[in-house]
Amino acid sequence: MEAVTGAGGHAIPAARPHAVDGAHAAPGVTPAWRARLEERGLAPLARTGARYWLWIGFLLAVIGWALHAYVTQLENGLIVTGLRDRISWGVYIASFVFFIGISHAGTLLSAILRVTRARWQMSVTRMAEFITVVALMVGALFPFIDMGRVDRILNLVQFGRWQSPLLWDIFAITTYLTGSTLYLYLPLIPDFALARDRLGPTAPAWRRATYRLAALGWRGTPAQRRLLDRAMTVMMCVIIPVAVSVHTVVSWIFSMTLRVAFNTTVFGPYFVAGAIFSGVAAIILLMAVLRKLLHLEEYITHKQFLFLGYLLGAFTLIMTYFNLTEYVTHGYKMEAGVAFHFTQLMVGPFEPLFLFYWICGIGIPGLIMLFPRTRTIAGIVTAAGLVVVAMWVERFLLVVAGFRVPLMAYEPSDYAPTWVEWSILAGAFALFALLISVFAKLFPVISIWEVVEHRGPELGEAAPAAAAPGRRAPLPQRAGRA
Amino acid sequence: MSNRTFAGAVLLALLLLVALPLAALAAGSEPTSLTIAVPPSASLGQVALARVTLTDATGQPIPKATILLTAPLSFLQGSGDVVIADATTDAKGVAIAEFDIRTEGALAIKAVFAGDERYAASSASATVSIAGDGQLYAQAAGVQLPGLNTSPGAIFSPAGSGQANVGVLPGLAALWPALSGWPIALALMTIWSFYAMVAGLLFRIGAAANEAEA
Repeated sequence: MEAVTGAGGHAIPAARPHAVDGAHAAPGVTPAWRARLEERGLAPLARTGARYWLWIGFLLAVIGWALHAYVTQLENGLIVTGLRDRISWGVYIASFVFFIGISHAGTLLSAILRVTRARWQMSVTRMAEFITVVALMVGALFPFIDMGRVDRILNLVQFGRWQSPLLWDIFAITTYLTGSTLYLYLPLIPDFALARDRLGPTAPAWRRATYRLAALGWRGTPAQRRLLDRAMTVMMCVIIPVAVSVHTVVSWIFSMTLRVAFNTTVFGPYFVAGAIFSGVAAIILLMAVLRKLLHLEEYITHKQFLFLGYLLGAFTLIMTYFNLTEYVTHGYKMEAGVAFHFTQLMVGPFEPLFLFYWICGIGIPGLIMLFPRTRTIAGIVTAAGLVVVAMWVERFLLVVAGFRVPLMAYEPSDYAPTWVEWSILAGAFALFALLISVFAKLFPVISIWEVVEHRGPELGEAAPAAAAPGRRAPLPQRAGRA
Repeated sequence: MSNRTFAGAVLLALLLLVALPLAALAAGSEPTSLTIAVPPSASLGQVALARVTLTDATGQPIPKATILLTAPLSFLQGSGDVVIADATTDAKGVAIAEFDIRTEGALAIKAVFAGDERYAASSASATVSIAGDGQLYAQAAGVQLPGLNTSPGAIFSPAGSGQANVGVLPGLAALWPALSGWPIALALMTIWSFYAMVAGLLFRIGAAANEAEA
């Protein structure tokens, strides 16, 4: 049996021929190229360095602090937050919408690209699916955190009403999380088999047992391939409408309440667009981090950044369109409360955040993607970082400014998050990073078998050299099916 | 004018100043009597009528007097009587007030005449025993979606009355609680049946491995 050496010097036995079928390899895949891919893909599973544990320790410390803040909130009630009766949704619900939003792009994008058989995406689908599952797990915590009396959670089941969008949201998110987990798992099966076959006796017994169990006895037989293909096709088709419906339902939580700022019919598609916008940005950021840390430059090249960057650029225009549609229709009619809302947003207390959203979330990313000179990996990652921050700000504006419009003739309230809310928010981001870090240690972050069978080496592109940060690869001729 | 005469005039003026208001007050405190009749029992959500009769001390009816109906209410840390209806007495001293029954249990209804320049205030109470349970608020605004916020029977009701036409669809009204939320249930069942199908395919992948081994 041929053996290659992992990044940490651990011997990774060569694949048994039936784990990932070489007969289905894409054009240009040589045994050496494939062995290198498998080695790169499985190396994080075989070796864990001290820096990883330091990182995990740091994340656990942040989560621990957030738990302390949450216990403080449980003991004293929501009075320790900035939430009051007039602005009763703040950082927590804004973050809920944000995380559900970034969860959107992962599975949705992966499914759309798989359906359209876009080869370039094969090396990033796994990361996108990670983001979906992890962001859903983190985002779904926020409504519970927002509840002053979390012990009453069962009331939702006991007294839940079909008419309530809150109940619809519970169904939508649990259905989406289940579907996304299934959709993440299916293409992992051949890679689990690869890990089962190639992680030798140096790997812990629990890990080998897990991979053996999770691989479902995968041998890559024609019958198994046919069944897996059918299962993936079903999930691809089901998960797209489910993903769209989830964020539409999240938008209904707002737009079905009698509040001036939420009184709009575009909220469903606007939320879906915003979710894809922030989700694509999150994928780009995660791609950049994992590419650098796991030395995946050969498989995640400028092309993946560029295509996702194009999507990001297109969505700056779509978000502009939705926002302008809302401002013009609301502003033209100027019903009671709208003038107050627009004033507080544009020239009032929210003006700095509003300008930040438009300049850093829409303007600069759009300009970065407009000019070829700035469409480098560094430029695209910068744009993605700005979009992620700006979209959180946009969610904050949506929730807090919306609730600040007085419902009756009283003075508008103000809302300032306290240390408890900031700490819990930091803990949520730390939990997100922790789950991604753990996933990256347990599962190959690249869908190895799909890259071997459907993508192969990017022909005509000297991958490692062209993928160097700051350098721009030649523009592909056929976007989407290259 | 002698001092005696002046003192007498001042005394008379003072007497008038005191006596006139007292006379007016005496006229306003003419006692009144109030009686209230309410149904002894009612159902939650029903509209009930209270018949209130206001008479003077001689039993003569007092017309054109405002009668308030109040009921006790407590909310958070506070409690007190709230006005639930008002009516004006007719020539026979009778006022008919209509009020909504919004709480279950024994509801003490109090009729109050606040008094005026002639008649003194009076009040009377009666208790209505209220039975029943259920949600009293029904959303009227927005789109009516059968299965979500309206009865499916409402589709078949004449002229959009919103009432199930049980003559056309007998038994539908009785079935309604079981049918509530059916569009959501249907959508969820469809999606989850696909998930179940995928789970079945996963089992078959495992079984196919065993076949290959065999």
